[in-house]
Amino acid sequence: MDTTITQSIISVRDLSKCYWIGKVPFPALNRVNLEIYDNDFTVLAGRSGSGKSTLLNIVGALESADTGEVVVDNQNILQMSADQRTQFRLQTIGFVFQAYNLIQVLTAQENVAYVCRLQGKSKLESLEIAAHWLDAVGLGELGSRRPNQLSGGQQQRVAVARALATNPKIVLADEPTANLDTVTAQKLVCLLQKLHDDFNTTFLISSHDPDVKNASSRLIKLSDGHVIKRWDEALPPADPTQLSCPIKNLSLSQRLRRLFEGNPAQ
Amino acid sequence: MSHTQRIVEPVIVAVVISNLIGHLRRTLLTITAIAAGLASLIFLWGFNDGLHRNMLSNFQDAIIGSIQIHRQGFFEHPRLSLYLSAPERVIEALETARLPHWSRRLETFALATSEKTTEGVMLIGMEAEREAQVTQLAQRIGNGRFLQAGDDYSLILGATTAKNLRVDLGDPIVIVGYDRFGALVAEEFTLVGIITSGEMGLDRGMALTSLRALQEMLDMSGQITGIVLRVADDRLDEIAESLSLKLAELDLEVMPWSEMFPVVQEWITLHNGFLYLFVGIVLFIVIAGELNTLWLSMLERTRDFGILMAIGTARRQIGLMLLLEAALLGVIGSLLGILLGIGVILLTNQTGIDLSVLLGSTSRFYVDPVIHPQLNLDHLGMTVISILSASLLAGIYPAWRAVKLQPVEAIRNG
Ligand SMILES: Nc1ncnc2c1ncn2[C@@H]1O[C@H](COP(=O)(O)OP(=O)(O)OP(=O)(O)O)[C@@H](O)[C@H]1O
Ligand SMILES: [Mg+2]
Repeated sequence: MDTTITQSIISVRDLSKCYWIGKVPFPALNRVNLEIYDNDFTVLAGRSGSGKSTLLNIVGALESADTGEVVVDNQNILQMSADQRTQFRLQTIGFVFQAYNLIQVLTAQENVAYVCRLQGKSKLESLEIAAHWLDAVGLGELGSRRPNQLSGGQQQRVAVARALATNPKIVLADEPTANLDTVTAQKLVCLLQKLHDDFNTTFLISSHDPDVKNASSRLIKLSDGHVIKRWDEALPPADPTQLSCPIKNLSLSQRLRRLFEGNPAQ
Repeated sequence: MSHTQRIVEPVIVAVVISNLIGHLRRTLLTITAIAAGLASLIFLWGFNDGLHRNMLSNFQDAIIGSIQIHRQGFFEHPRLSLYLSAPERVIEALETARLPHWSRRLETFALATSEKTTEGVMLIGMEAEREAQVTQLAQRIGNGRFLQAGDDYSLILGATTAKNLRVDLGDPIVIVGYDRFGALVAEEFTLVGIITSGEMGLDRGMALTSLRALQEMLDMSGQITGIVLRVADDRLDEIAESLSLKLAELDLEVMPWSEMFPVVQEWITLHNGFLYLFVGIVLFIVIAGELNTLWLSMLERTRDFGILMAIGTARRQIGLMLLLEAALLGVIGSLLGILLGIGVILLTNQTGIDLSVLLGSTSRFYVDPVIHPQLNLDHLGMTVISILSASLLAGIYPAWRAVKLQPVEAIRNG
């Protein structure tokens, strides 16, 4: 469906945000305008302090803005009440943070099932959905483990499973690979890309990671709170060999199995 | 969306339980602290209530009974002229009220004179056959015997008085007093028993004889100054009230022991006051301890709460998690505390706690050396409710702080 692909799902207009420490202003975003289209895999790049996290947090209704307008999935999120924001985060957004995404006292499966249960699904159904998504991220066997029994990469994959388990319109990931070693980071990127390919979900990911950038269909670069560069379909299609995922033509489950088989501890 | 209408969603409860189990050591420590605090309070109350009950029972059993009925003003100024004018009507009232434990008395001040010296005494004429209905006085005789039916001019003295008079069993004692018209009367009695109770009030200043002998001596045949009643503690006030209503037209005073000796009641109130203070201290410790646990646990989980909010948990639900955690700790701790406390009371109630080593024989005021702790439901309820609410209260501040968390900051700083 070509029309849905070009439809804007995130629309940011003249967005500004300034942090104040006492009387000293720290501008984080300065009149940002951007458009993210449905089913895009967009990477937000930029130096540390350029405003990536701030932008993601505002788009995810975690933070307020000073001026501007943010429309996500046809909802004007800056006008929302606290309860509406909570519901919006639950129903529309899937979050993946840099690290320590998981609740330590819950197992991997319970962590994923938690959001489904928040959505009102039964315990049984939620656990089933969680098992399905853990399977999809290659952790089908490790559902009963607690986060401290999982590697950093595995924990991030659980977080990805949780982000997708609510069937969100948009997955927001703030430097999801920053705490991982290169190889593990690459595998996570592969996974994100494949999940994006297989499911009708928009991904907006902030990253310094060149692998992540390569995986993107669009790249937005921020500097000092401004959008300074935008590549819309300008990137060459991601090179599978460079991504160390030479398996792009297999089905998702085959690819996942390949990717994680014999290496569950990574 | 049905899930937003529930007060506590099951998944929130599940997270709370996972958290309590996930930090098992901390959970058990907190529960143990609450349980131990509550159990020790329950036991202290039990001990306290057992001691008071024992003391009150001994106090009433010693000589005064539970309720005394005299002519109005007699207790304040015991004069023979204030004799009970219609004792049979009082007794009739007692019988119809199904109060069988009564005994008549005739009381007056007198001088007891031995061959060596003289002592002032309260001279009480009592019904030997009926006295056991109202007091355990007969058990306090350490030397000789108690009054018997058919006794004539037999006398019983307290040990201290007997010692002061330098008399022994079988010795003659002359009692000198005034009759109700103010005329001097004297009679010779024979010492048949000596009270060795260890209580100052009994061992000193008391002379007992048979009601009939005293009536004869005072020329008051058939007359008495008072009726003593023994009733169950929990019905005391009710009975006193209904009797005084019933006997209203007779110009009588119906006095429960607590009215005759308010200082005893005050002492008990004061003693309970100390326990309330103690309850307060333990409550403070429980609150501080649990607050500390919940606060640390909240700080530790700041990031978790940030994440939970980011992925769609409402602030209300975050607050509920902490309140629920506090409530669960409080309820489980309290349940264990109740079981433990009551268990210890039931156990010690059977065996008794022997304090004879601690209590000198001189200092005890109608208290037996072996205390049998008692369960008083009022005190139990009050203590349990306090501890429970304290433990809930301890959850409020951490919950409030958690609700105030900004998700972004919580995730960044947590
Ligand atoms: N809570 C805050 N208080 C004050 N200034 C803040 C706060 N959060 C962010 N900033 C400032 O806002 C600007 C943008 O920060 P942001 O975290 O969005 O950057 P970033 O691109 O995510 O950086 P990084 O790559 O290091 O994560 C920075 O100058 C930062 O110092
Ligand atoms: Mg950032």
